[in-house]
Amino acid sequence: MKSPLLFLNSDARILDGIRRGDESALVTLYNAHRRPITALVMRNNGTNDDADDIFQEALVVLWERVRAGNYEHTAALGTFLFATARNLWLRRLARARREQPLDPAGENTSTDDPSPLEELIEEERTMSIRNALSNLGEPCRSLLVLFYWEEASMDEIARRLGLANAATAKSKKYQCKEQLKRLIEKASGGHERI
Amino acid sequence: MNESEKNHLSTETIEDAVLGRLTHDEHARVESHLGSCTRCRRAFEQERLIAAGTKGWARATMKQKLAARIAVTAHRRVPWPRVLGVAALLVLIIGVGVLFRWREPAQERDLTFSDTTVSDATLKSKQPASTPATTSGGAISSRQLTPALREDRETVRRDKKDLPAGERQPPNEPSMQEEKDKETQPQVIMKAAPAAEVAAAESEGLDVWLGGTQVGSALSGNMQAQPAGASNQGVSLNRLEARKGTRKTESLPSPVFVIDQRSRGALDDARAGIHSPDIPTHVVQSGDTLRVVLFLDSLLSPNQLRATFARQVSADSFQVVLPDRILGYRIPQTVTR
Repeated sequence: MKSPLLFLNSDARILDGIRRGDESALVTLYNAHRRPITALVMRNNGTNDDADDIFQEALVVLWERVRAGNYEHTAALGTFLFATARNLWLRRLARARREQPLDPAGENTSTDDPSPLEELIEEERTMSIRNALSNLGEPCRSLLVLFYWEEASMDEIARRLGLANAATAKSKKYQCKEQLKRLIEKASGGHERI
Repeated sequence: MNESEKNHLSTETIEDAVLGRLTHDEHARVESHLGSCTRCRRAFEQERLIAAGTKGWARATMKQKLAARIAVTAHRRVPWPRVLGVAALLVLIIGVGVLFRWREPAQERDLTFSDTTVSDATLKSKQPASTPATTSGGAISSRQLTPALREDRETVRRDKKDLPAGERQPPNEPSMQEEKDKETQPQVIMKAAPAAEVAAAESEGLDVWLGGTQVGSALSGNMQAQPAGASNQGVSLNRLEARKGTRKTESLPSPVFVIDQRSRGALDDARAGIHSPDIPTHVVQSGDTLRVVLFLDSLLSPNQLRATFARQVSADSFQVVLPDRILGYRIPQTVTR
């Protein structure tokens, strides 16, 4: 059932809010669509906390896509979020059982998922990068997040970070990546090179 | 070093490949190159890990921020179902309380005025709108009555019940026997200043009771008065309760009641001021003396009268409590005190 809250906050308005970086738009979506997703997760061996976690992940996916310009508004946001949350949950269940996702053709799933061992290695390596990012100072962290996560252009990065121009942003990006690599090497005691 | 290795992929190309910005053809060419160029493959893998790690960090951070925001809104959110439930419960409790509170005085009023001997409409029509006919506390239930009073009440009920319908006289049209009785039955007179009244009553040969003290001597039948308690000479109200030859008094802060007998002529005069359909009542003013006369002889036998209990409940109203009813009377506004 469509929530009155959603009626008051139309999809277009919410998408506009996300594009402007308004995080409260996600809270509005959460409040409007939490119930069906909670029901879905709880019907499929999940808990209330699992449902919250999955739904928040789905909201972050939406945020990421909209911010990166990769979101195509072909269905209602509620539908998108439900499908995304459903696939994320099925994927998590499949990983827990070391099985393939039940719906491999769905959102956020790949037809050639890595093996559990590869996944573990991949996870460890990305985790070391995430830890290094936490120690990376500003504006390097924001710059890398803008570049890789939001897929912002150099012009956009320069504008948002107050850098002179795209060339300066590009140069800064190179320095930041080098700094990140050093942090990773330092964290691994010089054993790990990416 | 082969051809592919000589022309390494640029950093921008690798980044675009990792971020999926290449066209299908460009992507195919990069894949082909990566298959033969170790250095580019390593650079590509490095870029992919940085991108994945950065995205992972950004997602986790965003998720944490979102969870915090949701927790704050959930804390601020009004739990409407719970609030409405509590409100409904409160309304129910208050409603029930009000209902009971409303019903309680209503029952009291019913006990006071619902008696067939007093018409509410009659009383109301004679009452000033701004003042109540009686105050609370006028109710006397069967449980509160002494065995003697209960017995009298039963007598009254039996008397009423046993009387054939055809023989029942309208309240204002007493039978010959009743007419005769009226001359000997006592009535109630309420006085504010009794001295002159006492003298007048004695000169008429009436039994006069003043503040619980018998000051007259013409009681008839079983009405052998045994005064108890001292007279307050009009300063306090004495509740007179006749009970089988004895009278019990109880001081209350208000004027004095005098019980006496009245002549037939006085009865006729009094009927002009009837306040009750079957208990003739008359209020007269003589100087500074106010007389409220209840012609109980039309209804009550001497035995029943012994249970008479008159009391003033407000400045302009009083009650007479009989064994089986409570009568409320409003002193007419034409009488000034």
